[in-house]
Amino acid sequence: MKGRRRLIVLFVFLGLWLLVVVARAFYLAGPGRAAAIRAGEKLARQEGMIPAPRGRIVDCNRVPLAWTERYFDLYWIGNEGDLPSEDEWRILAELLPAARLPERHGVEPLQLLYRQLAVSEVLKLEPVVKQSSRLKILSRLERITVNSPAVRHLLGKVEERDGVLCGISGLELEHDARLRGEPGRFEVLLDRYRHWMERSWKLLAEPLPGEDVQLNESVTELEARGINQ
Amino acid sequence: MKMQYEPRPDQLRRMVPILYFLLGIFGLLTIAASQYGGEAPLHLPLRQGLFLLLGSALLLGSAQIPFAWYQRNCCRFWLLSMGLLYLLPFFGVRLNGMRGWFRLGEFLLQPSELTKAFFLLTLVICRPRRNRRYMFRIMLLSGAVWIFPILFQPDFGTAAIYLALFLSVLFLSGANWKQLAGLIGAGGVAAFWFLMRYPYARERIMGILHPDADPLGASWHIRQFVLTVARGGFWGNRIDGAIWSYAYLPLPYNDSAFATLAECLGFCGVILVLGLFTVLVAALVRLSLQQGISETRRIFIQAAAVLVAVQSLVHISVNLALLPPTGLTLPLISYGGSSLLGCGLLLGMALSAAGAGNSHFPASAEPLPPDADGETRCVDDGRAARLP
Repeated sequence: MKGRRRLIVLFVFLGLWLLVVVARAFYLAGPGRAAAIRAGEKLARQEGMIPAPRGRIVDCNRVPLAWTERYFDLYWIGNEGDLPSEDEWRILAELLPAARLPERHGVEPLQLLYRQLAVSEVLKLEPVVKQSSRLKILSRLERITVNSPAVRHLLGKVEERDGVLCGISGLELEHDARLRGEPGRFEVLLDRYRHWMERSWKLLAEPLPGEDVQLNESVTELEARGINQ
Repeated sequence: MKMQYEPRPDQLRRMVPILYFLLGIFGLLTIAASQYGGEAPLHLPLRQGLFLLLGSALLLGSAQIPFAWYQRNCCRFWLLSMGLLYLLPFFGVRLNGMRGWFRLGEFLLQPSELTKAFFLLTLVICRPRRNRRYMFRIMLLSGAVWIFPILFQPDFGTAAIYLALFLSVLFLSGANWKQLAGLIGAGGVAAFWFLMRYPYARERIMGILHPDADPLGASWHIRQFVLTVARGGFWGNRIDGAIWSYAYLPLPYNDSAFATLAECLGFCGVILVLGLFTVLVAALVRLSLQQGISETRRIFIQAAAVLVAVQSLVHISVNLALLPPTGLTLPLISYGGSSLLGCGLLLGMALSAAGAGNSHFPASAEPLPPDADGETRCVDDGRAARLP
């Protein structure tokens, strides 16, 4: 009799637990569903901008004078005194023997470890970076010009503003509206380390590339004009 | 006129393997959903299917062996279990931070899952009785010797389940309140020490209490559990729709199996699975209440039901963000051959205790052999006969 009473006590407790579980599952599937999805997706979903390729500046013979290239660099993002774990560092040193160890004191939280990664290096590093909250591969756009200081002076300078290259002087500024193009948009899911999830990238709006601007002069004429100025 | 359906013991005994298999099928579905989009989506479901067949065979086979045989060989099972658990630190493989598996070629064997049934058998044999109060100390020692190597792996979730099993056997066998209070007090002290010793455990509790405090740290998984279950809604997604569990949950086919199931099948599917678990536990309890069944067998069957219920409820509560993450699997659903085989053995032994193992004896007249401790009554479809 005593055994049966104890059995009832035990299973009443388990039954109540089951009721709580069912009520919680019902709440999440029904009344609390929208709020839970909103809160979770806010953390995980991120929209981003795809910079439009900036148009080239070419001379009258269509020889490129200024064009844009994208590079990838490896960064360490940590608080002061924060260093990679032994494992992290061993793997990094194996993959990139020339990478430099982040400094412990008096340095900015974003430290460049390796500049201009090759595509094969990016692919090799991807699994290591995915497992770390502090290693990041960041891309940058760089405007390349012909190797002539006089022409470079005429072409002017660009500056990166919110991921978009904008002309700030010379021909780059003059033809900025045509060169700049229209940036696109994408959506991606992020993991807890804010890395992109595999296969989650989705294009929302295609970027419209900037137009090429063709000048009326040749490189030599431009060089002469630049020297005179 | 009041109609009341009372299933016969033989019907209940047939029901248990069917429920084991049905829940196993839900497990296969969950694992397949969690792997959809991966590089080898059929690898784990096929392995689990093989384990399900082996587990079903083990259940049916172990149910045919008379329970007295298990009792007589309890010492051998104890030695075998101790050997497996204590050899782990030397020959075990470390996975997910725990040294809890042996590698057998292609497969991994987790002894703590397989030895649950033998642990229960040892406990019910060593339980304190009216005329043998000293057995409490033997039971306590036996439990400690068993749980220690599991804590050493360290697998705190499984150790907690072993402890719950220990307490339920003690409770069901009529231990006095002083003993129970002493054990619960000691458990409280151990839990306090554990929280002080391991900061991650404190963080997990704080993550449950304040989910917005550290959304990318301690409460990350808790939020993902909630979101995954919510995404399932009432009707769920298609089998290829469990994308959130695949992308965000830790071990979606194992520690997060319930959330994956909820995302795939929705609330309706969840209710179905909970219903199957409830029927399984109720069938075991009903079997334990047959007339003439000995106390040892009764407590074995009831504690087996408690084990299935508690482990399932803890896993589900974690996946619904009601409890902090523990790393416990959902019996019969989560991926793992050791767990499926261990569960098959446990249920098979429970069926044997309920009389299935004696079916080769003539149906009614022949009394059954006594239990190893000599307290047994014969059980045959509810008809009991006292031994001379």
